[in-house]
Amino acid sequence: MALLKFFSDLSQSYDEFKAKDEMVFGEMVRIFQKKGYPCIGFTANEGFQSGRFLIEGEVLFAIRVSLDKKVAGAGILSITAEVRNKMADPDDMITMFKTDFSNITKIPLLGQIKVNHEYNTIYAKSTSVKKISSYLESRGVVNSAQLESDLMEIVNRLEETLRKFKKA
Amino acid sequence: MTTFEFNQALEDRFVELVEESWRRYDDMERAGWLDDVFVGAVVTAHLDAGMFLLSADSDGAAHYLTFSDQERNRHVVRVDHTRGEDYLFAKTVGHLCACMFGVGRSYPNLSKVMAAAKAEFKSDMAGEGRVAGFSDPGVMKVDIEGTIAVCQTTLLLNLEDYVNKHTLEVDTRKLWIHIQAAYQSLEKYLAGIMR
Repeated sequence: MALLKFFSDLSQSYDEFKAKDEMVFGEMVRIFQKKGYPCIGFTANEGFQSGRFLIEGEVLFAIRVSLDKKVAGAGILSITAEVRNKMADPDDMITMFKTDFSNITKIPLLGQIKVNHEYNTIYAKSTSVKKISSYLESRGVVNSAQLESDLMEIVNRLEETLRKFKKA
Repeated sequence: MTTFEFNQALEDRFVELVEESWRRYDDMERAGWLDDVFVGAVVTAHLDAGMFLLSADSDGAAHYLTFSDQERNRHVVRVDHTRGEDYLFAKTVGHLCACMFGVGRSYPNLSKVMAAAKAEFKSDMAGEGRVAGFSDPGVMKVDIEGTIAVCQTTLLLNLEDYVNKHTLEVDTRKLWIHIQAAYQSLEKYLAGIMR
């Protein structure tokens, strides 16, 4: 029986070792939920998790956060922020066509931020390599303050990049 | 050559039509978000209760989440909202969602593992998907994975009981009480058959 318990504990430990990205992603969902940004899109597979969160703020409409686990506890954190302009007036559409629409070819990159300009929605994407395990304090316990600080620093940079594209 | 005579009243009407269209577009878009808001709230509720996310999988039809606590007990939630995501279905019948809840306990004991395997065999006799693809609600089934026996049951929930479809706010307290109610009954059943 002791042998069975040993293998049972070993199996659980292995599951927890593999699940560091899930633990961190789960905390991301909780952080945004607590900030009043509900999860409006959820996709997860082994080694990849992605969530879309509704902001509906002054500038940003939503953000998408993706965590893609790579080797040696490192992962790629991608955050895409989106601005949505619900235009109805033809005068606004003409102005946008003459100015913003020409940005499609002009602004592929702003620093480390990639801008993708669609008709009503403009996306800004930031990608960075993170040591996923650095956010874990102990078994299943995530350093929520550090994670929130890192996430919001990126979200704020993306928001500033997109501010000029938001129509009143 | 055709001359363009501008009529402000017609343009105003066009603007109104586009604005009305945006409102309908938003309504349809929000209808498709309810299950994801629910999943986010389920994750938050479990983490608030001291658990952590052990695995997460989406197969296009459902989201499958496994949580673990510090005592290595497992809690499983599967959210299947394929019917409720259909706009017409959601508008007429409601945001129905088949939610499977499960409780997993480790039994590092050969006789207990055999008892769980026997319960799993009996579980296969339960009916599945007889009405609109939904499993019989409340039926307790046992699934054995290694030394972990998972007791699970399916409930047919209306997401609007938990998520305000206009503001997307979640009644977290109500949601957690209902989840706890399911977990308690599952634990009771599992303890009863593994005695």
